[in-house]
Amino acid sequence: MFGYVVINKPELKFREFDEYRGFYCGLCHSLKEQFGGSAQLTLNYDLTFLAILLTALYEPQTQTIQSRCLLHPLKKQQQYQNIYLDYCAKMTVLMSYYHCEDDWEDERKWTRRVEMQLLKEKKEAIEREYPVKCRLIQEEMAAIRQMEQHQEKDPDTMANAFGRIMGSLFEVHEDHWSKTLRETGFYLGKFIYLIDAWEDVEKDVRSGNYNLFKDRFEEVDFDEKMMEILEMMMADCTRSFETLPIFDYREILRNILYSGVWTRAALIRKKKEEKKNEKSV
Amino acid sequence: MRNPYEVLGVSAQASDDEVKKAYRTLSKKYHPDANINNPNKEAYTEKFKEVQNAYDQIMQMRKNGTSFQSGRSTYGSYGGSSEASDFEDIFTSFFTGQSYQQRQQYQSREEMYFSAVRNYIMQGYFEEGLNVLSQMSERNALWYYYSAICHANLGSNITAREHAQTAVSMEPNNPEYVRLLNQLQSGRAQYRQRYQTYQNPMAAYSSCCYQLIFWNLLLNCCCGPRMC
Repeated sequence: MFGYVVINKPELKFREFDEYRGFYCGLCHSLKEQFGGSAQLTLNYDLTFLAILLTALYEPQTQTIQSRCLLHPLKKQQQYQNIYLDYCAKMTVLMSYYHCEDDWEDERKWTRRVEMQLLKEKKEAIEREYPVKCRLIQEEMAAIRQMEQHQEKDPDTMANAFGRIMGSLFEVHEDHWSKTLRETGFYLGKFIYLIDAWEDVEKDVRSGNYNLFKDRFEEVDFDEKMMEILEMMMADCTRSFETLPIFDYREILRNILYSGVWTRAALIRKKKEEKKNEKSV
Repeated sequence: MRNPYEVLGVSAQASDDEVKKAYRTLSKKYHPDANINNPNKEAYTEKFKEVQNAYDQIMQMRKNGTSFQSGRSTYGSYGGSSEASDFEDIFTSFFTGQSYQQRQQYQSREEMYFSAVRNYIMQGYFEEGLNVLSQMSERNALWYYYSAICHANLGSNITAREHAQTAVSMEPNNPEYVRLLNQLQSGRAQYRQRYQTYQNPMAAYSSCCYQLIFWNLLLNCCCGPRMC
């Protein structure tokens, strides 16, 4: 579910890439400071994106520090620190816990159970800090599980539920920007849900797991239709995003939303085409 | 209603960036936190709200492809029109004894359902609107049009576009239906414009080049991120 909201690196300037790293490393650092070393393994790109978006919108006081880390012991890395990176670190841990819980319910992988136990106390502290948000997320995840059990086929119905989860992560304060941030998160969340389902459909069909597209993925032009739908999601996401009065880090954010998100899509498309060609040979 | 462009001190032809810059400057100036010791604090707070609302209005208008006309308000993000006063009549008469009967003479069952849907749309109750629509057995172009509006406002953009397309294909000469479809699709043209300014990962990978793709994803990776 994570790893789609990435940069298209060759299209970023060096300075922009350093700034991106500043957020990524900053998020990693915040995870460690707030939740300990094990939490650093939950680091992901999607919430890095959110940290950059919130920083650009709210322009909080941000420190830049130079620090070493285990994976980069020789050269100090530039890291940013601010309240939104701390917020995103909390949301990272929260979402990791819920995903582990979900996987445990579905697939009973003992590794997920172990991870759940490691994250449990941290997650509970976050739930106490954000009770309304967490309740909403849990309700939507429960709704998703139920709809999966009933083999829901409508893409909007399923993707909207995940969209609402992302929307609620994007909305930090109840303020003037709530609606726009929620909308931006909502359509990005829909994109993520749909591309994830698209990527995994063959695997899920083989293993008998639920997948939104399991009855449709062998239709002619299915992959083309998917690309159109995904493009629709990003178009609606960016339509909201562009109404925000953002200037800082804008090129990084645009790189991700207009280009980076298609990196994985390109790979998925390629793999599926090759599979089709193999079959027809 | 004051012209929002005047509030921000920019022309109606100002670029989005100019509007945003004006907003940033004014909002910083009038922000309550920046004026704690200011004797004009209350006036500044009012001004701050005015600036925020003006900015919102301009951005919404530009997003929906509408323009500022003083004295008019649009309802909902999608399917806005100027029929508000007519609907008020239908709404109130719906619940008034005598005029309700009168209405019944002139309104078919279908028209009554559509009235209810229009009211719900006007008031922003889109789930309720869909509920009423689901009780109708005949699905004509108007049905698909209203359904598209409700779905669009609930974030169900896939269904919204499908239904808008169906409405247009059933009645291709209806300007309202065409307008809605265009409104729903306009985002994609704008998206593609920007998206094409980047070296497209799709184009780069049209030749068999997994390496490039993996390299890009790897270069993204600083510390081996978690992929659930």
